[in-house]
Amino acid sequence: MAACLERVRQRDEDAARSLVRELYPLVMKIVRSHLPRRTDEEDLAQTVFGKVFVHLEQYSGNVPFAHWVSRVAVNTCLNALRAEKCRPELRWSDLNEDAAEVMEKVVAAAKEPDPSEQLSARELAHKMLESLSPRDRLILTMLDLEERSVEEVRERTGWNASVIKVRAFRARRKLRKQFARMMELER
Amino acid sequence: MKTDYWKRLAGAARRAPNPPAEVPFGFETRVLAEWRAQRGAEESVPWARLLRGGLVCAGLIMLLSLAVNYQALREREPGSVAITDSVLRMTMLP
Repeated sequence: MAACLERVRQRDEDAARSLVRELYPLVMKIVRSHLPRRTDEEDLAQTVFGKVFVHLEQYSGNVPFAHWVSRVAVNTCLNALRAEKCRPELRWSDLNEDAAEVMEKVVAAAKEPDPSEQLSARELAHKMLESLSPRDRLILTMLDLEERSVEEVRERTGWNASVIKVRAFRARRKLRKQFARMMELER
Repeated sequence: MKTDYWKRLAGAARRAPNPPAEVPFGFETRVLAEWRAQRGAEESVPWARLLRGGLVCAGLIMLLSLAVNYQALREREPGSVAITDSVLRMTMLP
C-alpha cells in the first residue's frame, strides 16, 4: 500500500486506478450507510475519492490509510447530510406494503422479520434515521446498524466518546417517541 | 417492560445481506478525470494559493484599518468630504 501511495503522489495514474479499486468496497459501504435522500451513491463515492486524491499530501501515515480514507468518507457524507434542508418524520402512510409488514412484526414483538424482509427492515431503519440530525444519524448508524463500538465511532469521526454516548442516548429516545407517535396515529 | 422497537428493527436491519460493492464500469475513469482536471487547474495557476492568501491578508488589513480608524471616521464633521470636493472642483476645473 505504501508503495502504491508513493506512486500516486508522483501522479501515476495506474497506481491511482488500483487504489480506487482497492478502496471502493470500503468507501461504498460508508456511503451506502450514510447516504442522503435523492443523492446518487456513485456520485457521492466519486466526491469521496476526489477528496482523497486532493488531500493525499496531508496523509502523514500515523494511522492506517484505510482509517484515514474512512474519516474522509464519513466527513463527506456528513456534509452531504447537512445539506439536506428538511428531515421529515416517518409516518405509517409513508410505508409501502413490505415496510408496513416489517413494522407490524416489529411492533407485535411476536416474531422476528423473515430473512426475506431484512432488506425492507434496513430500508425502514434508514428512513427512521432520516428524521434525526446528521450527527445523530451517523452515530446511530455506526452503533446500532453496523455494531461498532463507541471507540470505533470516536476513531472514525474524531468526536469525544461522552458526546457520542449522550447523542446516541438522546437519538434513541427520539426514535422511541417517533415509534410511539406512529402507533398512536395508526390506531 | 416496554419493548424497544428501534432495537428490534435495527437487529433485523443488521442481518440484511450487503449488496455487492463492485467498481461500476467507467467509475475509475471518472475519478481520474476529475483528479486530472484538478491538477490541471492547479498547474495552470501556480500562484493561485499565494494569490488567495494575499487576498485574505488584504481583506484582514482592510478590516483592521477600518476598526482602528472607526472612531476618527465617526467623528468627522458631516459633509466635510463634500465641501472639500466642491472646493477642489472649483479650483481645479476650468
